[in-house]
Amino acid sequence: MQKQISEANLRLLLDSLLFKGQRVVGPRRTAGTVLYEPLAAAADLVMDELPRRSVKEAFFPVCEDLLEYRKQGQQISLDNITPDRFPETVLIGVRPCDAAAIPVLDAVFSWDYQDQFFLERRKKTTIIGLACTIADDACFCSAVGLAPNDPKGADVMLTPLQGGGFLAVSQSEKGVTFLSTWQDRFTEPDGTATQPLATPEPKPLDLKKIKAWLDGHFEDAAWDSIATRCVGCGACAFVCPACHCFDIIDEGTEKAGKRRKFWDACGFSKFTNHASGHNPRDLQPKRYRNRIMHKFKYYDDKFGQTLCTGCGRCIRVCPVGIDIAGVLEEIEKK
Amino acid sequence: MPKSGRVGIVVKSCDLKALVGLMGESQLKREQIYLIGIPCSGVLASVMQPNQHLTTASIAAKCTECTELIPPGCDFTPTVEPPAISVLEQRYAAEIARLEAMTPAERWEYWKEQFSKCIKCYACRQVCPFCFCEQCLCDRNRPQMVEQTPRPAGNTAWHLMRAMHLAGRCAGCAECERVCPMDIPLNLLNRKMAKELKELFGSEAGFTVQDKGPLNSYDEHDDQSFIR
Repeated sequence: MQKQISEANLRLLLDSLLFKGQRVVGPRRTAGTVLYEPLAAAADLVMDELPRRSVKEAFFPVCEDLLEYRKQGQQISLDNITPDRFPETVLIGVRPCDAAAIPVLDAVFSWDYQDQFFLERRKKTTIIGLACTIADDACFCSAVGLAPNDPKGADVMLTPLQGGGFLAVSQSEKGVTFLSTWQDRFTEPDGTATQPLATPEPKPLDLKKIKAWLDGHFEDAAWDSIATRCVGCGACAFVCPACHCFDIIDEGTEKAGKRRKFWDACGFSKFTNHASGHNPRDLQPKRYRNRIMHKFKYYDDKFGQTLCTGCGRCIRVCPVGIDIAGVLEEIEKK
Repeated sequence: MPKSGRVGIVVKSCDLKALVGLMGESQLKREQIYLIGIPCSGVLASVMQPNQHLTTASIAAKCTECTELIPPGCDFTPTVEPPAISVLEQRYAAEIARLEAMTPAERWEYWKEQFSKCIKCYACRQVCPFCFCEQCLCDRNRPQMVEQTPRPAGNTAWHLMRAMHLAGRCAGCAECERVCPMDIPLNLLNRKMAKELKELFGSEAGFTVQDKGPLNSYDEHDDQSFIR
């Protein structure tokens, strides 16, 4: 289904959704930084800036409670957090590099264990993608097989039109339902041309060739030269739309507390630290190697997908300027 | 450290202050290093635009308050014309004045909102010259000293702990603020603490190696009027 909508009407639509009590999440400025957050009004929606953190937190929050415990005398009571409490959500303004990561994450969150927290949110969320008309130096979606208007992961895809407004194309059943439900706000496409899309500079990478090298080079001097300078923070993993490692911890007192699930990162020295004190990834290059291996080999081996969508966030935030696109180019040349 | 000889380190004034601080804390010996001083009139606030020129708009906030353009006491400093100093608006001083004018409740709101963005990536810790603990309190889990999860309680605990541990030590390199992926104004906290330390103890990070910082030492003549 193809429709057209002006920006004013799109914002009116969002305000109608909010008025009905529907949860709407989209890029919004919080304390100076754009993040995917629940909108209080359609005017909050920021449409010209890639959020600093990726969209994964709409399904896999930075931190969430799993259960609550209380102890009274010898009695211990547990309260499970049931995922059916998650509200229906419209997620708007999702860039292709973010939307594409969501089906990639589906694979791992519904693999040997059905992660109800992820899957329930997924089921209840309609994703409205937004094509990109500008790219910066770090963008490289086109190098990993995506494009600035790739609809992967979106239920409805918006593409900016010349002179304003958007072309809206449904990509799924959910998308058709959304466009039909709100058909009053949309018009039939009048043939207005779409704005020229962004043109990220990096050339397409040969991911098969890169994987072939990774298959045979778990041990290689290159890892040292690539990652000796890595400082071991978690910035790259935390802003990444596809990184999905988490830790689980009990926090509280002996009397009461909560079990919480929160983001973890393979760059941290403690990530693989065993209770015995042994750490198989004892040096930073081994941790960085895991980052690359997981994204471009292990995930491919297991699920036939690449764990990178070229959003460029890790390049933008790396304290020491490690450029993952550059690392891949280097590997491709080997 | 190399098997023999010294390690050459290229430093700006703020880098040198950090090294001097580390020498004072017995982490480094002067004779182990060969200092190459770089006359510096400022660095860019963001490294994402490497082709950008240094302007009053693109300069890092820390450089607007720096007066030591040539690091003193280095083993080698190229003889160049000292860089021209232009008087810039002191961004931290202005922001501290703005925050000090707030009520405590307003100030708390401001920091609460900033800390709410924190994702505990610890980039600030990893790049800080003074974060050299073998085990960070935040990583301890037997017993857990600080909530590890990126939630209001744990985030606030981390940032307050960080600010207190750096009080009187921070050299003002502002790397924490530069690397923060969530744009939390971390050096603003550091500058505020530095201001307090200067007012209370007449102590500030400099180019002379000091044995102990004001918060690491006790003197019976210390001002104790705050104990009531």
